Amino acid sequence: MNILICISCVPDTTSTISFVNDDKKFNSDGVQYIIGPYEDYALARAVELKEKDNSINISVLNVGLERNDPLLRKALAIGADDAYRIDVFPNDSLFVAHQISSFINENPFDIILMGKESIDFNSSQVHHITGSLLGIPSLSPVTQLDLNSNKNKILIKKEIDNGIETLEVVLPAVLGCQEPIAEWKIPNMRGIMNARTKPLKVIDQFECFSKINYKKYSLPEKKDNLLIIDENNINELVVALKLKNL
Amino acid sequence: MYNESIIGGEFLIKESNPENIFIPEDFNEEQKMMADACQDFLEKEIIPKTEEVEKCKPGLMSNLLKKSGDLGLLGLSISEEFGGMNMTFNTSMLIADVIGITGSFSTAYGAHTGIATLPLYFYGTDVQKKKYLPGLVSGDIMGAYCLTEPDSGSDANAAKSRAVLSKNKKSYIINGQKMWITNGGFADLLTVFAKIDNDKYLSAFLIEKDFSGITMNEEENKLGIKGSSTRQIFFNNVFVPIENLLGQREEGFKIALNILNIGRIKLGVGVLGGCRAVISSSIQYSNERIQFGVPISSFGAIKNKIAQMVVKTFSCEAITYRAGQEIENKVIEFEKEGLSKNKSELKALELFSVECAICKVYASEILDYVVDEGVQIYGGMGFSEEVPMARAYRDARISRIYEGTSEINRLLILGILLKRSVKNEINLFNESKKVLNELMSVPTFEDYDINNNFSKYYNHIKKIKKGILIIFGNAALHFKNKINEEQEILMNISDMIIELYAFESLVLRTNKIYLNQPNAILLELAQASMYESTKNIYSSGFEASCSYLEGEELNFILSALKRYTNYNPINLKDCRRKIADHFIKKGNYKLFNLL
Repeated sequence: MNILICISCVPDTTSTISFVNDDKKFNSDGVQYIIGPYEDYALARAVELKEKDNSINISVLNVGLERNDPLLRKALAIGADDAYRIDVFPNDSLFVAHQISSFINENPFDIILMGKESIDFNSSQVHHITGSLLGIPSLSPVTQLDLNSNKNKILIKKEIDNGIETLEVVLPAVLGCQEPIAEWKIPNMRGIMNARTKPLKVIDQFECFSKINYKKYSLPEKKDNLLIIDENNINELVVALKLKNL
Repeated sequence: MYNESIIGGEFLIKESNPENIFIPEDFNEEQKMMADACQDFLEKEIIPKTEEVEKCKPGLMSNLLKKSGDLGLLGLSISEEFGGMNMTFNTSMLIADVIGITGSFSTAYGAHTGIATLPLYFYGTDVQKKKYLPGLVSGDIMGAYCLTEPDSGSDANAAKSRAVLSKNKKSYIINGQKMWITNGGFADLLTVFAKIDNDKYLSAFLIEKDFSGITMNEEENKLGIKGSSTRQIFFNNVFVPIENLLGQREEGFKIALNILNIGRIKLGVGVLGGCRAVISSSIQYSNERIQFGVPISSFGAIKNKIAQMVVKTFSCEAITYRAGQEIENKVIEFEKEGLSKNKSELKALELFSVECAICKVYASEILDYVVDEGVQIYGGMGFSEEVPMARAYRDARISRIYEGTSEINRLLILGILLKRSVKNEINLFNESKKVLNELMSVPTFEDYDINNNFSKYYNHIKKIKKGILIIFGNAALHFKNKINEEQEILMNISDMIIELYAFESLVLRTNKIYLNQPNAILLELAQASMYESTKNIYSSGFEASCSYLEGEELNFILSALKRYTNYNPINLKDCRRKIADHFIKKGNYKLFNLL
């Protein structure tokens, strides 16, 4: 069985967010990049499955620039067998899904795991677009993944409004993962040392034109400071509401 | 590549080049990934359990050590045949650095992987190693090192524990009492030092906790690192199979001393994680704490503290990794000559025992300085157990005591240098005479390359070295073989040497970073360090000279000291403010993200 994990490389959650080029571009200066947390869970689950069945091959894929290579090597250290990077700036969801589906067309996989969303642009679309481009099922957010005795099928649990759906899915399929599908893994020292012997292939982008241009970025408006008013002091509340024309 | 010194202490008489020294910025992606993985482990497994650790929850510490073993952290420098990672010396230093943030866990980890594992690794027979090492590396066996006794601490060889051969000659029977035994409460394997019969020197024994006759006291109630297990252990007619003698008979004392070399430099690097955490917390707190309508980080009084914490920590990082690499270079060299990795490491560590001692003294005292100012920046809050500053303050204090007190290490630095000079392994006396001749001749004007930002610092370093050599040479000549009785003067001269090493290493590090990233803050760091170190070197030299000279001779030495520690005044306030502002804006002080 071949599992592919598509990882996004996103700014660390504590990064200071700012923009350059007249607010047309995200300022990546001094920003520390990490593997998207949801993809981290997906990778951890794949490694767990491999621990039980060593015949499973785990590949990781990123659509992005060279600065992401250390993160792909980290994925190898955690337990992936090989890594691929499609060498192009990941402009938007459709563009990225095109790159991924073209790659999968050339290199078939049984299970394609992604995060339920990347934590930078949070579009939550890449898995579904990839699934539809490939004509295979796409499900998200998936919180449990188990292999079936029938190798063509998997068992998953998926969050829905007010409940959880338990499904049997015919492979191949694309899954957008989230916790508690697995606990994220810290690469061990041996894994880190072994990572250098595992292949990381950089491949040219597939032909595809992006249809989205970025006009402007802006930061969310700063929220007002929280005002705590004593329950016995209704007047203060009235004054505060009036000041805000509410 | 980083080929610098031939023998420890040589920095006193040799010029160094930034290309030839290792700086933390030279760590590669793989080493940084290991540091990150270790940091993630601490954040996931150790730091959230701090409170339980501090209360010595039964079974917890050994469980955490076992978990670190699962990640491979317990056998970093052990060869692969015993399950270890066979990493380079400086990589294991980097991991000790990261773990240093954890206080109690760091002490337990350091004791297990250092003094408890390494004597066996370096001196054990193949049979002994096969029996115990894989367990120590995986964390299935916990280790402790039993050297200190109620009446023998710094004077380790005065231990009273005794071993005698049993009648059937198959066992040694051990009797004695050991104290301050880190990990004592849960250790399975004890490396115990005792004298066989009436031997002059100690021997070392591998003793399993399950051997009958071992009892222990309750946990010690300590000032700090409360979560680390510290016990008194009693050996009452404990039968130890003769094959568990570690090394040769009477080799124990040598084992103990040699292991301490590695312990010292590891302790030096192990304080850094703590220093950085305290600086980062202090910066964050001072950015958030509003007084008189503004964050207190906008006040000069606070900036002054932050800048000094940063400069000292930065120089401490510079010395430990510089020395670590020099040791590593020597290991590689000895291995090429055909020595085993073990022997190479021991020999390299012995060669650089001066640097190991310097790292221990300097780092432990800087940690104390940093935590003290951390508490001060937190103000009243710093005195409360509600924030981690109080614990950091208590935990720091032991660093100046264990693995050889600051005093013992200061004396050791000079002791080794004097011995090596007498043996002519490093000729400090001759170099001192040369400086004396220079003093008698007409002074030449200082000449340096104004286009090189660092040239003035290198010139200054050259001068300071001469100043130290004069004080050292004169004292050695004056007291001859009675110099060991003048501990105060020896400690003064040690201080001069320590400050020089710190300042020089900082300049080399800033210069090396500057070659790739010409950031002005690096020049400010060099400037602030020049002020600080020169001031300390001058005052130590002054104190030493006044302690035994008078009249003309004193005047002569003091004027020489002045001449060699003189430099153009700088605006220290502006310099420190710039340093502080840089880190206040960043909001933290991190090893790999300084600029």
